[in-house]
Amino acid sequence: MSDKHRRMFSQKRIFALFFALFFLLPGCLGGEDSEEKESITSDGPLTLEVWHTFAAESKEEETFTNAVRDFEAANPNITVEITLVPFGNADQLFMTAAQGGQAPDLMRLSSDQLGAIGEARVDGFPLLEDLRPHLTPQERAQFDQRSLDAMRYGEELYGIPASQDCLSLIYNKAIFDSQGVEYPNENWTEEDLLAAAQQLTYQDVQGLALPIKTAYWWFPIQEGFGGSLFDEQGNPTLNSNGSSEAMRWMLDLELEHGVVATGTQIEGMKNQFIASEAAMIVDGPWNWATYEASRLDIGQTLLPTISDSQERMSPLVTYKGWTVSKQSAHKIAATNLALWLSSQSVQKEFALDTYTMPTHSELENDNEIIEDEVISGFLEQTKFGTPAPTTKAMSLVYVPLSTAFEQAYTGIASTDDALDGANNELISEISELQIAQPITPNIGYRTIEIEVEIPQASNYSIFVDGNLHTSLMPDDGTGLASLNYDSCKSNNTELLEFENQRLIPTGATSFNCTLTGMVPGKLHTIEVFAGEDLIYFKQASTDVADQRPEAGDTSPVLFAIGAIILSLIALLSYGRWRDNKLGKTNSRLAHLYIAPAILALAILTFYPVMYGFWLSFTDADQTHLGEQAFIGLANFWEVITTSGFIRVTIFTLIWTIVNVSAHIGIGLFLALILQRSNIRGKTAYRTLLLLPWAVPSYISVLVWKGMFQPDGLINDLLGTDINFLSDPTGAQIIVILVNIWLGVPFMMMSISGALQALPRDMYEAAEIDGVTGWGAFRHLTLPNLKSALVPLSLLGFIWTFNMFNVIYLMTDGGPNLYFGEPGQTDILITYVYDVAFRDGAYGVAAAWSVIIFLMLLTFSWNYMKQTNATEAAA
Amino acid sequence: MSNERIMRAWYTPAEILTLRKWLVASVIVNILLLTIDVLRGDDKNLALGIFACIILAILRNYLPELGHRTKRDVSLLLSALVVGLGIFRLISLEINMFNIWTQAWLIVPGFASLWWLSSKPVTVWTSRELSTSAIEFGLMRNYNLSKTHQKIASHIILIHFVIITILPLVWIFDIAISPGNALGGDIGDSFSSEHFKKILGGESFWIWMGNSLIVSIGTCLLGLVIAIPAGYAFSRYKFTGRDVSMFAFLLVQMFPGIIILVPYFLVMKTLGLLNSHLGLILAYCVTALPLCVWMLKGFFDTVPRELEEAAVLDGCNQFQVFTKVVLPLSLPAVAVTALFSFLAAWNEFLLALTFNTSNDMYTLPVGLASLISSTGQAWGDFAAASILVSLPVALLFLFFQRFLIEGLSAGGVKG
Repeated sequence: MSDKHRRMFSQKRIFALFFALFFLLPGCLGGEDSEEKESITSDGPLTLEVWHTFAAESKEEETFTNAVRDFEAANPNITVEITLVPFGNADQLFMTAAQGGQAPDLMRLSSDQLGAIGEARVDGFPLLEDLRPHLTPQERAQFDQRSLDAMRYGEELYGIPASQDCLSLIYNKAIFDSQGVEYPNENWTEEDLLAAAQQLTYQDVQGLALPIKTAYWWFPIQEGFGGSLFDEQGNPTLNSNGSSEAMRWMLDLELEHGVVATGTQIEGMKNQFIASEAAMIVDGPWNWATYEASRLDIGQTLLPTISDSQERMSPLVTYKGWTVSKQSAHKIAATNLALWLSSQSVQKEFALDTYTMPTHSELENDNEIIEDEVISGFLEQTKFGTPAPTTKAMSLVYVPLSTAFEQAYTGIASTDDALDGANNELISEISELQIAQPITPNIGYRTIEIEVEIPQASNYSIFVDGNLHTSLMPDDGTGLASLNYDSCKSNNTELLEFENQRLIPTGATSFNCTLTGMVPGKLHTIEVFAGEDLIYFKQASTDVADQRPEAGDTSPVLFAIGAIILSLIALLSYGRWRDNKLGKTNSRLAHLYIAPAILALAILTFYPVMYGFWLSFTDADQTHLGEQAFIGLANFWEVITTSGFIRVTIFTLIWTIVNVSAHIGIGLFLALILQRSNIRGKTAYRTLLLLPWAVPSYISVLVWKGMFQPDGLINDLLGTDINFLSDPTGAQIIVILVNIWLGVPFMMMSISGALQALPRDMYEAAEIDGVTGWGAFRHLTLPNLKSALVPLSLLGFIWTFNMFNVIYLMTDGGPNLYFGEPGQTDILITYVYDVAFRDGAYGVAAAWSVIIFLMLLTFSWNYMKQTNATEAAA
Repeated sequence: MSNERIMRAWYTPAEILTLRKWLVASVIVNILLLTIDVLRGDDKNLALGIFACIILAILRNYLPELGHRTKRDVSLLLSALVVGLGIFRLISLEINMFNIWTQAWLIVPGFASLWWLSSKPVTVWTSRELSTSAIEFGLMRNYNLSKTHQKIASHIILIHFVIITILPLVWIFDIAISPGNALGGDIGDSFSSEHFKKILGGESFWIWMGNSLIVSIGTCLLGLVIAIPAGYAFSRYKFTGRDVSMFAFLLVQMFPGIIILVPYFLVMKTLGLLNSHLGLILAYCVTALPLCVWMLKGFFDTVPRELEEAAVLDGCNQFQVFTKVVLPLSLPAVAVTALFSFLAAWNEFLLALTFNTSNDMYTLPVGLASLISSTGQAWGDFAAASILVSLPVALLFLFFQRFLIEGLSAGGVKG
């Protein structure tokens, strides 16, 4: 009777809970609807969110923060929230935030990132705002034309340039002095460089530090030998004349002449130079402060000329600039902040404090900048540089080139063949590119059209609110085609332009200009002067409002989560009801016990996983996110036909099985030793052995990587000079060893815990029966540890299979010996990462993920059945 | 008489017993060490090394037996040969710690067998028939000696593992205390506390530390609160949907997380959990749950039912049975799962980065990553920060070991 009562009561309780959740959830979770409306007049208080990638606690961060504070002081109605985003993850984070409707207003991006971001669309919108209508011609004119052009993707202007970077030649004066070699100068040829490097390679010192397999360092040499990355039409020409020679020359620095240390990489190159183990280095201004801080006496000069072609080596110049997000609700304020952060005074501070090269035209003639040898020296180098093309193709060149370098370095292919291969691979990748929908401009936003009748072609100036906006002058034949930053027409033809002035053809009777940089809703006074005479006056405003994507509608997610919760509660209640009916009274509370865990799991992860499954059947791609269409099994077909699919799967299995066996084997071994013997210092041993678990794996993996470099600790100990990580088998063994090192502590700890639960008297009894040592282990310890070892090994298998960090940080899947294939140390998960974030093919990546999921599912299910893992005790 | 013969056949000096094991181990290690000669391309030493391995293997199988004087002499000769080979190889190499260590794996076992085989108990045992009292004494002696030998072996093994374990960590420490920001240089060449000062002097480090502590402790507590009942239910009850729910915990770990970051972000946004400690705590709990639930289930399985039934007879209700009987017996597992959830939260990077768009909410791993700029790493600062991040965890290890040892005294059912 009482039992029945209790049962009824608890059923009621569950019902009540059910309903409470049903009504409460949507109510309390959906409370974020107060959307900010774009304030027409930007006077109301508003908050801007800025993402930057300067390192924490760095001089750059300080300079930047000061500039932002000054802006806030000058604009009291604006509050700026600064967020430091780790550099390595910035793109990906921006993409995620944009898809979630949480993109920042302003972000600092590099011109070579624009190629990837420029093609991305979320819900039909680009990620970044086209800044052309926002800037007046005068505001644009502040910046070096090349830097401004570099921030464009296609027609659109996506950023306001704030700084530029390129490589140059830096040398250690002390080493030159000690060998009596003359310092490098701008008249050097590559032969002089090589001769000096050979002279300066003695004892521990190398003549030159240069990462000889890194494409970015090859670009200047390629240009010097007469090659180029792309032709005029933007077609790849990686194998153009001189490219192969350039690659040969670069590789020979190590392989033939030995003036560059074996297997030098970017980090190693820096270290060699800091330790005075390299006389010269090809590096950018960004490391200058580090070298100075290491008490080196250093100088800088232009990269040499190639004697055959008489061309100077021409480094790639990349620009960093401030971009405004398409989602920003306050684009006018954001653009003002971007202009502020790129302004002359802020750029100057950056230049003088942090060796950041400015892009502001005025600073070229600034005395303090000219007197600063480092900044002016590097600025001189940029004049011989080649601006990095802001195209999608440019963002794709690195991967095929890295394979070409590996092939040529290991001798699999000649430099000619390797570069031919890279070029073909690049062409095929470009042909497979998804092209995003062109952007429809929001005509009239921040622009006002005027039409002015004129008596003749002469000098005219358009003033807006008393400030010069656009100047026009008569056509003198010097004009160039308009760069399409804005539009001024006469007789329906775009006027030519010259140095920011528009040219009026003789005989024109009127011109109409689209004035940029207008503030919506504000009444502007527009005056046109011919010389001193006012010939046109108009007060006008534009009311075209900003168009921006709807901030992600979360109601479908809410609905999905609600449905998941309700169906789970229903399932649990059904289970409970059925058990009651079957008379399993002792498991009365079981469903209640597991409910919190199951619900937490379901609420947070079921929806994402289901979403992942759905994605694998769609054509989801960076170019049209949020608008993906169902395409059936096409993605799975693509996965299975990827060349190297079988190879990667096999290596993933080897990787997983070796790792898990070693983790459990070594962990068990150590746990047993620590458990059995009564030795001194047990606690100390255990703590020391657990330490790898305590140190963030990010740094310990990078340290291991450093230890396996040719100048690393392992080679020092062995007294050898082996480049372990560039050899496929070597790299495979090493990534496995490092992961074993990383994983043993956890297993040791868990098994130690499990060993403590074994009843002691069991062993005493066994010892009396003469069962000790191996026998006791085999027949007592192992069977009793089963309940711990089974879940540990199962989860270990799943985790290791999906273990991403170690390989990504150690080798990034490399060495990549074959074009268009996964690298030699890629496992499934690292390759999926590349497919998703390098290629932007989310649908295909999701299909890979589903395949991984199915592999693990099959394995786990069989393993569980084999070991009866789910069985309850007694 | 026969009794005496059995005793005699039974008795082997502890030295011989130990050598039988140790020589096997040293053969294995020496074979592994041959890789070094292969990597060095040192053919002469490789050949000598192979030869030494063979001699060691022969020595292992030719150890003296009862009454075999000649066998003893031969094995003495073989051990001397091993020592000689080790020394010869060593002098042909550059003398440094590493090379001394590699050759010690020949010299020390060789020397140990030389020493022990020529010791009195072994000499006597091989050369004449022992009296009963001598055998009794020998057996007594064996008991004590083998304990000592075992301890020495444990120390040797543990020291080797510790060195491999902390080698990279020593390097991290060296980077942290070296001036400048290079990743390299010789260990212990110069000292500077600039990096520690810089990190500890900055305001942000303490913010990150605070966030990490809140999130990790929260994860640890909440994780236990929801994992313990679930683990208990899975261990004790056979209910409808049991296997499926247990498997469900594993299922979500099988789908690669990085692909579903965007929908995960949307879920967090929908629930209003972005930029909050609670959001991260929940996310990490879910990450740690599968292991916690499965581990605890396995542990509860080993707690005998009889104990619970006895407690029920004594008048305990179900909650008391659990808190007074089951939980104390499972302390080691609870400690392991607590540590695991704590560290899962402490070291996690990707979710902490994705779900927080405000620097005030960054945890230590994200903070560490933000020390890196586009132009290169400040390795010194980075290493110093890593050490500061690891310190609380190392203290935690010391603290949690108590539970591992306490569990021992609580274990066991009588009868």
